[in-house]
Amino acid sequence: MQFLLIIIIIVLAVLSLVQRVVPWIFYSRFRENKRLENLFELFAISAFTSLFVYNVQNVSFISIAALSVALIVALKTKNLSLTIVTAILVYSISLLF
Amino acid sequence: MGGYNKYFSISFSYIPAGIAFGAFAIALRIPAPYAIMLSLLVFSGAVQSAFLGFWVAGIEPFSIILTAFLLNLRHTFYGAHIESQRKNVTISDIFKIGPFLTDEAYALAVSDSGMSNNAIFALSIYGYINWASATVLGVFLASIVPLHYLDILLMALPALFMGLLVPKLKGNYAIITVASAGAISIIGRILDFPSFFIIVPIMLGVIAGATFKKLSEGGK
Repeated sequence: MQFLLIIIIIVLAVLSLVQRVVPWIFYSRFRENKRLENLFELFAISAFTSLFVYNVQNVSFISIAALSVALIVALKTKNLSLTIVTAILVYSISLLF
Repeated sequence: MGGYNKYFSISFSYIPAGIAFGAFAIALRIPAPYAIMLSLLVFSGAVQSAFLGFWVAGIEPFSIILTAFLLNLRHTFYGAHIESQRKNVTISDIFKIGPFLTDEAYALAVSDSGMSNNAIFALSIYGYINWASATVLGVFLASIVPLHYLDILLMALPALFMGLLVPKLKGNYAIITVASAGAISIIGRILDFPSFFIIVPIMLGVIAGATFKKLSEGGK
Protein backbone atom coordinates (compact mmCIF):
# COMPACT_ATOMS: atom_id res chain seq x y z
CA MET A 1 0.00 0.00 0.00
CA GLN A 2 2.78 2.42 0.95
CA PHE A 3 4.68 1.64 -2.27
CA LEU A 4 1.51 2.31 -4.30
CA LEU A 5 0.99 5.61 -2.45
CA ILE A 6 4.52 6.75 -3.25
CA ILE A 7 4.09 5.84 -6.92
CA ILE A 8 0.78 7.72 -7.11
CA ILE A 9 2.28 10.81 -5.46
CA ILE A 10 5.21 10.75 -7.90
CA VAL A 11 2.88 10.38 -10.90
CA LEU A 12 0.72 13.26 -9.62
CA ALA A 13 3.84 15.40 -9.14
CA VAL A 14 5.09 14.70 -12.69
CA LEU A 15 1.62 15.33 -14.13
CA SER A 16 1.29 18.66 -12.30
CA LEU A 17 4.73 19.72 -13.51
CA VAL A 18 4.18 18.69 -17.14
CA GLN A 19 0.72 20.26 -17.38
CA ARG A 20 2.07 23.56 -16.05
CA VAL A 21 5.19 23.77 -18.21
CA VAL A 22 4.58 21.96 -21.54
CA PRO A 23 1.55 23.98 -22.80
CA TRP A 24 3.44 27.18 -21.95
CA ILE A 25 6.51 26.09 -23.95
CA PHE A 26 4.18 25.17 -26.82
CA TYR A 27 2.50 28.61 -26.71
CA SER A 28 5.89 30.28 -26.51
CA ARG A 29 6.72 29.05 -30.02
CA PHE A 30 3.59 30.70 -31.49
CA ARG A 31 3.44 33.81 -29.32
CA GLU A 32 2.82 36.23 -32.18
CA ASN A 33 -0.85 35.33 -32.16
CA LYS A 34 -2.31 38.59 -30.80
CA ARG A 35 -5.92 37.47 -31.10
CA LEU A 36 -5.43 35.05 -28.24
CA GLU A 37 -4.88 37.86 -25.73
CA ASN A 38 -8.57 38.81 -25.56
CA LEU A 39 -9.48 35.17 -25.10
CA PHE A 40 -6.98 34.84 -22.26
CA GLU A 41 -8.60 37.79 -20.50
CA LEU A 42 -11.97 36.07 -20.78
CA PHE A 43 -10.36 32.85 -19.61
CA ALA A 44 -9.09 34.63 -16.47
CA ILE A 45 -12.55 36.05 -15.68
CA SER A 46 -14.18 32.68 -16.26
CA ALA A 47 -11.54 30.79 -14.25
CA PHE A 48 -11.75 33.19 -11.27
CA THR A 49 -15.54 32.81 -11.26
CA SER A 50 -15.46 29.01 -11.32
CA LEU A 51 -12.63 28.83 -8.78
CA PHE A 52 -14.67 31.11 -6.51
CA VAL A 53 -17.72 28.82 -6.73
CA TYR A 54 -15.68 25.64 -6.28
CA ASN A 55 -13.76 26.99 -3.30
CA VAL A 56 -16.85 27.80 -1.25
CA GLN A 57 -16.67 24.74 1.01
CA ASN A 58 -19.56 25.51 3.27
CA VAL A 59 -22.76 27.10 1.96
CA SER A 60 -24.61 28.59 4.92
CA PHE A 61 -26.16 31.88 5.94
CA ILE A 62 -22.97 32.75 7.83
CA SER A 63 -20.62 31.99 4.92
CA ILE A 64 -22.82 33.91 2.45
CA ALA A 65 -22.96 36.87 4.88
CA ALA A 66 -19.17 36.79 5.33
CA LEU A 67 -18.58 36.71 1.56
CA SER A 68 -21.15 39.48 1.01
CA VAL A 69 -19.37 41.77 3.48
CA ALA A 70 -16.03 40.83 1.85
CA LEU A 71 -17.54 41.67 -1.58
CA ILE A 72 -18.48 45.15 -0.33
CA VAL A 73 -14.92 45.60 0.94
CA ALA A 74 -13.54 44.40 -2.41
CA LEU A 75 -15.77 46.82 -4.34
CA LYS A 76 -14.93 49.76 -2.09
CA THR A 77 -11.21 49.23 -1.53
CA LYS A 78 -9.98 46.87 -4.31
CA ASN A 79 -7.62 45.64 -1.59
CA LEU A 80 -7.17 41.87 -1.87
CA SER A 81 -5.63 41.21 1.53
CA LEU A 82 -8.33 43.24 3.28
CA THR A 83 -11.01 41.30 1.38
CA ILE A 84 -9.62 37.96 2.56
CA VAL A 85 -9.16 39.09 6.17
CA THR A 86 -12.71 40.52 6.21
CA ALA A 87 -14.21 37.22 5.05
CA ILE A 88 -12.31 35.24 7.70
CA LEU A 89 -13.07 37.75 10.47
CA VAL A 90 -16.79 38.11 9.71
CA TYR A 91 -17.14 34.32 9.50
CA SER A 92 -15.25 33.84 12.80
CA ILE A 93 -17.24 36.53 14.64
CA SER A 94 -20.55 35.17 13.29
CA LEU A 95 -19.73 31.76 14.75
CA LEU A 96 -19.52 33.30 18.22
CA PHE A 97 -23.23 34.24 18.19
CA MET B 1 -1.87 46.35 -6.35
CA GLY B 2 1.21 46.99 -4.22
CA GLY B 3 4.04 44.44 -4.03
CA TYR B 4 3.56 43.72 -0.34
CA ASN B 5 -0.17 43.38 -0.83
CA LYS B 6 0.48 40.49 -3.24
CA TYR B 7 2.62 38.69 -0.67
CA PHE B 8 0.01 39.27 2.05
CA SER B 9 -2.68 37.93 -0.30
CA ILE B 10 -0.63 34.82 -0.97
CA SER B 11 -0.06 34.25 2.75
CA PHE B 12 -3.68 34.96 3.68
CA SER B 13 -4.86 32.38 1.16
CA TYR B 14 -2.13 29.69 1.18
CA ILE B 15 -1.57 29.48 4.93
CA PRO B 16 -5.23 28.86 5.88
CA ALA B 17 -5.73 26.43 2.99
CA GLY B 18 -2.42 24.65 3.69
CA ILE B 19 -3.25 24.28 7.39
CA ALA B 20 -6.69 22.94 6.48
CA PHE B 21 -5.18 20.43 4.02
CA GLY B 22 -2.61 19.17 6.55
CA ALA B 23 -5.19 18.89 9.32
CA PHE B 24 -7.83 17.16 7.20
CA ALA B 25 -5.23 14.74 5.82
CA ILE B 26 -4.32 13.69 9.36
CA ALA B 27 -8.00 13.49 10.35
CA LEU B 28 -8.49 11.08 7.42
CA ARG B 29 -5.55 9.02 8.74
CA ILE B 30 -3.15 9.78 5.90
CA PRO B 31 0.34 9.30 7.40
CA ALA B 32 1.96 12.70 8.08
CA PRO B 33 5.00 12.14 5.78
CA TYR B 34 2.68 11.46 2.80
CA ALA B 35 0.55 14.54 3.51
CA ILE B 36 3.69 16.69 3.58
CA MET B 37 5.14 14.92 0.52
CA LEU B 38 1.95 15.73 -1.42
CA SER B 39 2.34 19.44 -0.65
CA LEU B 40 6.05 19.43 -1.48
CA LEU B 41 5.81 17.49 -4.74
CA VAL B 42 2.34 18.09 -6.15
CA PHE B 43 1.78 21.67 -4.89
CA SER B 44 -1.83 21.87 -6.04
CA GLY B 45 -4.68 22.44 -3.63
CA ALA B 46 -7.22 21.08 -6.11
CA VAL B 47 -5.34 17.84 -6.86
CA GLN B 48 -4.44 17.32 -3.20
CA SER B 49 -8.08 17.82 -2.15
CA ALA B 50 -9.14 15.31 -4.81
CA PHE B 51 -6.55 12.91 -3.38
CA LEU B 52 -8.25 13.23 0.05
CA GLY B 53 -11.57 12.35 -1.59
CA PHE B 54 -10.06 9.25 -3.19
CA TRP B 55 -8.39 8.31 0.06
CA VAL B 56 -11.82 8.21 1.72
CA ALA B 57 -13.47 6.36 -1.18
CA GLY B 58 -10.56 3.97 -1.74
CA ILE B 59 -7.35 4.55 -3.69
CA GLU B 60 -7.85 3.59 -7.34
CA PRO B 61 -4.76 4.71 -9.33
CA PHE B 62 -6.33 5.17 -12.79
CA SER B 63 -9.24 7.28 -11.51
CA ILE B 64 -7.08 9.53 -9.35
CA ILE B 65 -4.57 10.17 -12.16
CA LEU B 66 -7.34 10.87 -14.69
CA THR B 67 -8.99 13.24 -12.20
CA ALA B 68 -5.70 15.05 -11.61
CA PHE B 69 -5.16 15.37 -15.38
CA LEU B 70 -8.63 16.83 -15.92
CA LEU B 71 -8.29 19.13 -12.90
CA ASN B 72 -4.95 20.41 -14.20
CA LEU B 73 -6.36 21.17 -17.66
CA ARG B 74 -7.14 24.70 -16.48
CA HIS B 75 -3.39 25.25 -16.15
CA THR B 76 -3.05 24.89 -19.93
CA PHE B 77 -3.58 28.61 -20.52
CA TYR B 78 -2.03 30.06 -17.36
CA GLY B 79 1.54 30.39 -18.63
CA ALA B 80 0.37 31.44 -22.08
CA HIS B 81 -1.76 34.25 -20.62
CA ILE B 82 1.14 35.49 -18.48
CA GLU B 83 3.42 35.46 -21.52
CA SER B 84 0.87 37.24 -23.72
CA GLN B 85 1.13 40.23 -21.34
CA ARG B 86 4.94 40.25 -21.34
CA LYS B 87 7.24 40.13 -24.32
CA ASN B 88 10.45 39.14 -22.58
CA VAL B 89 9.63 35.66 -21.26
CA THR B 90 12.48 33.25 -21.96
CA ILE B 91 12.51 29.46 -21.88
CA SER B 92 14.50 29.72 -18.65
CA ASP B 93 11.67 31.83 -17.11
CA ILE B 94 9.17 29.14 -18.12
CA PHE B 95 11.22 26.44 -16.38
CA LYS B 96 11.64 28.64 -13.29
CA ILE B 97 8.05 29.89 -12.92
CA GLY B 98 6.10 27.03 -14.52
CA PRO B 99 6.55 24.35 -11.83
CA PHE B 100 5.33 26.75 -9.13
CA LEU B 101 2.47 28.33 -11.08
CA THR B 102 -0.77 27.90 -9.16
CA ASP B 103 -4.26 29.37 -9.53
CA GLU B 104 -3.39 32.12 -7.06
CA ALA B 105 0.04 33.03 -8.52
CA TYR B 106 -1.45 33.08 -12.03
CA ALA B 107 -4.34 35.26 -10.88
CA LEU B 108 -2.04 37.77 -9.19
CA ALA B 109 0.39 37.81 -12.15
CA VAL B 110 -2.27 38.54 -14.78
CA SER B 111 -3.90 41.15 -12.54
CA ASP B 112 -0.72 43.21 -12.81
CA SER B 113 0.78 43.11 -16.30
CA GLY B 114 3.68 45.29 -15.10
CA MET B 115 4.92 42.55 -12.76
CA SER B 116 8.35 41.34 -13.88
CA ASN B 117 9.22 37.69 -14.53
CA ASN B 118 11.52 37.68 -11.51
CA ALA B 119 8.75 39.11 -9.33
CA ILE B 120 6.37 36.35 -10.51
CA PHE B 121 9.03 33.76 -9.75
CA ALA B 122 9.65 35.21 -6.27
CA LEU B 123 5.92 35.30 -5.56
CA SER B 124 5.51 31.70 -6.74
CA ILE B 125 8.40 30.45 -4.58
CA TYR B 126 7.02 32.42 -1.64
CA GLY B 127 3.67 30.68 -2.20
CA TYR B 128 5.36 27.27 -2.33
CA ILE B 129 7.13 27.90 1.00
CA ASN B 130 3.87 29.14 2.56
CA TRP B 131 1.96 26.11 1.31
CA ALA B 132 4.53 23.55 2.48
CA SER B 133 5.02 25.21 5.89
CA ALA B 134 1.28 25.55 6.42
CA THR B 135 0.77 21.86 5.65
CA VAL B 136 3.33 20.95 8.31
CA LEU B 137 1.57 23.32 10.73
CA GLY B 138 -1.81 21.76 9.86
CA VAL B 139 -0.44 18.27 10.51
CA PHE B 140 0.65 19.49 13.95
CA LEU B 141 -2.56 21.44 14.70
CA ALA B 142 -4.75 18.45 13.81
CA SER B 143 -3.80 16.86 17.10
CA ILE B 144 -4.65 19.88 19.27
CA VAL B 145 -7.43 21.88 17.54
CA PRO B 146 -10.93 20.51 16.81
CA LEU B 147 -11.40 20.24 13.04
CA HIS B 148 -14.57 22.35 12.88
CA TYR B 149 -12.54 25.40 13.99
CA LEU B 150 -10.30 24.93 10.98
CA ASP B 151 -13.38 25.34 8.73
CA ILE B 152 -13.00 29.07 9.35
CA LEU B 153 -9.75 29.05 7.41
CA LEU B 154 -11.46 27.73 4.29
CA MET B 155 -13.15 31.12 3.79
CA ALA B 156 -9.85 32.53 2.52
CA LEU B 157 -9.80 31.00 -0.96
CA PRO B 158 -13.26 32.06 -2.21
CA ALA B 159 -12.54 35.54 -0.83
CA LEU B 160 -9.25 35.61 -2.77
CA PHE B 161 -10.86 34.76 -6.11
CA MET B 162 -13.74 37.17 -5.46
CA GLY B 163 -11.25 39.94 -4.69
CA LEU B 164 -9.36 39.19 -7.92
CA LEU B 165 -12.54 39.06 -9.99
CA VAL B 166 -14.02 42.41 -8.90
CA PRO B 167 -11.51 44.68 -10.72
CA LYS B 168 -11.99 42.68 -13.93
CA LEU B 169 -15.74 43.28 -14.11
CA LYS B 170 -15.64 45.92 -16.82
CA GLY B 171 -18.02 45.69 -19.77
CA ASN B 172 -21.07 43.58 -20.52
CA TYR B 173 -19.01 40.73 -21.96
CA ALA B 174 -17.31 40.29 -18.57
CA ILE B 175 -20.70 40.14 -16.85
CA ILE B 176 -21.91 37.54 -19.39
CA THR B 177 -18.74 35.48 -18.79
CA VAL B 178 -19.17 35.62 -15.00
CA ALA B 179 -22.89 34.80 -15.22
CA SER B 180 -22.32 31.82 -17.54
CA ALA B 181 -19.32 30.36 -15.71
CA GLY B 182 -20.94 31.03 -12.32
CA ALA B 183 -24.31 29.49 -13.23
CA ILE B 184 -22.76 26.33 -14.72
CA SER B 185 -20.37 25.97 -11.77
CA ILE B 186 -23.28 26.25 -9.32
CA ILE B 187 -25.28 23.67 -11.30
CA GLY B 188 -22.25 21.37 -11.28
CA ARG B 189 -21.95 21.69 -7.51
CA ILE B 190 -25.69 21.25 -6.86
CA LEU B 191 -25.71 18.09 -9.01
CA ASP B 192 -22.54 16.97 -7.21
CA PHE B 193 -20.48 16.51 -10.36
CA PRO B 194 -16.83 15.52 -9.73
CA SER B 195 -14.40 18.40 -9.10
CA PHE B 196 -12.73 18.02 -12.50
CA PHE B 197 -16.02 19.27 -14.01
CA ILE B 198 -14.61 22.76 -13.26
CA ILE B 199 -13.02 22.89 -16.72
CA VAL B 200 -16.54 22.83 -18.31
CA PRO B 201 -17.85 26.10 -16.75
CA ILE B 202 -14.48 27.75 -17.37
CA MET B 203 -14.52 26.95 -21.09
CA LEU B 204 -18.26 27.62 -21.53
CA GLY B 205 -17.81 30.97 -19.77
CA VAL B 206 -15.09 31.88 -22.28
CA ILE B 207 -17.28 30.80 -25.23
CA ALA B 208 -20.29 32.79 -23.91
CA GLY B 209 -18.20 35.93 -23.29
CA ALA B 210 -16.39 35.71 -26.64
CA THR B 211 -19.64 35.12 -28.53
CA PHE B 212 -21.34 38.07 -26.83
CA LYS B 213 -18.35 40.31 -27.53
CA LYS B 214 -18.26 39.28 -31.19
CA LEU B 215 -22.01 39.81 -31.64
CA SER B 216 -21.97 43.19 -29.90
CA GLU B 217 -18.98 44.37 -31.96
CA GLY B 218 -20.61 43.09 -35.15
CA GLY B 219 -23.79 45.04 -34.37
CA LYS B 220 -21.97 48.39 -34.21
